[in-house]
Amino acid sequence: MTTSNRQQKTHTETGKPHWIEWLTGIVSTVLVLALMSWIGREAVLADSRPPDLSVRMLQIEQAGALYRVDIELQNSGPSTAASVRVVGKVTPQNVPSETAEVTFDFAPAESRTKGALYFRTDPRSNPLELMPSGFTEP
Amino acid sequence: MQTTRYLLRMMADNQSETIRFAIGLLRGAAGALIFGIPMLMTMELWFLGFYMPRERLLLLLGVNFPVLVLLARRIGFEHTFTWSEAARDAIVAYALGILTSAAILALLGIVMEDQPPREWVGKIALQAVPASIGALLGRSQLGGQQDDDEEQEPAEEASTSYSGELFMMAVGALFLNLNIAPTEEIIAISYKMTHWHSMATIVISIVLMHAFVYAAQFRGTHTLAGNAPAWHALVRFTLPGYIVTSLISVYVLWTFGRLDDTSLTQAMMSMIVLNFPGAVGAASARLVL
Repeated sequence: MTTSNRQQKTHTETGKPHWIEWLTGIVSTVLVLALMSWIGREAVLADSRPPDLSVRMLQIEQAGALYRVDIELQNSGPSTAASVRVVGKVTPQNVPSETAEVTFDFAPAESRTKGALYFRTDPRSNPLELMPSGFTEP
Repeated sequence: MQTTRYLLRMMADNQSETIRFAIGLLRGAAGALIFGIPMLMTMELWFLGFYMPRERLLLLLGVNFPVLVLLARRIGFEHTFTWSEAARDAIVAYALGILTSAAILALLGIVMEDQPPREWVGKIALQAVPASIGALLGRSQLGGQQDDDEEQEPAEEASTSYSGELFMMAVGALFLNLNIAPTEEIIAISYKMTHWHSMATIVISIVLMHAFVYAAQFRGTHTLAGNAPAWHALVRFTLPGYIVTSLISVYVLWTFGRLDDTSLTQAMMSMIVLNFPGAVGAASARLVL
């Protein structure tokens, strides 16, 4: 409990707090220490291995005259990549291949991000290739 | 004769009542503007207005109302407010928040008549949350000369429950977080920071929070009764305040979809970054409110 003096605009924390204040205080202290030790553990174990990027196809859907390929960019590495470019290539027989590309702002460490690519050629009946083509450090 | 005089007095009273109400509305709108403008002019918030998940927007709009009522009750505390008056003030502040946001977004050409309703309603709804908090704060913090308090002298001493203190910290943290969380920078900073940086940020946030309230001797500063050691305040108020701030940060980040498909450590890093402004907001709320 806190008592406020309106004239002097000061507040005084009571000297005889309810036990709930101490309980909350102790739980909070434990939580803050847990947070710090988690981050501390990560800091000590931190490895500077580069991002490990891979692209997975989720589904293909017809979107008007085009085909939309939903993709998921996964970074299983311990570092974050920025401006990740993903290139998709559909190679029909006897016809020049068609490429589409998209840039992901970020691929956070150990996280997944979704996006999509559009093609004129049907990627369901032709071989589709997906790959990350580059990134920058954030 | 007596009756006429009485009637005349009634009319005069009514008129001054109306004027006072109008002045109250004007102050509310001013507060909504002052506290809302940084957000009204942030690009990411316009985009969030139409792409954020509708159920999260609805939840935020729903949560805002009880927050406003509690805040109105807190601000009106010295005038011995009732709950129904607090609810009335809260709903008026909400309306002012919506109207002010709509007016400014229309003025800046961000809300246009050719946009689909989903887009402009979403933009206005999202902005109305911080603007309505601003409208309430405007009434208290920008309150005029003694004109509001003539009926009753405020009680010399008032006490705030422990949950009341924690609630004020939550409102302060929520307000600053809503300002900052939508920006791309929170995520970008958390990617740039090493784990050592974030460790330091936790410590600095807690130190700042404590110093703001107990050491800086601002108006509204807090002291401990008797000769209790200083760490009592740290354990009983500042550390719980940091945890409250963390919860608010996680809620706001989740609302804006910043935690989707993110690893636990990455989510914690974003939370720690957002806790920094949140902690400053929480500490100032304890001083100001």
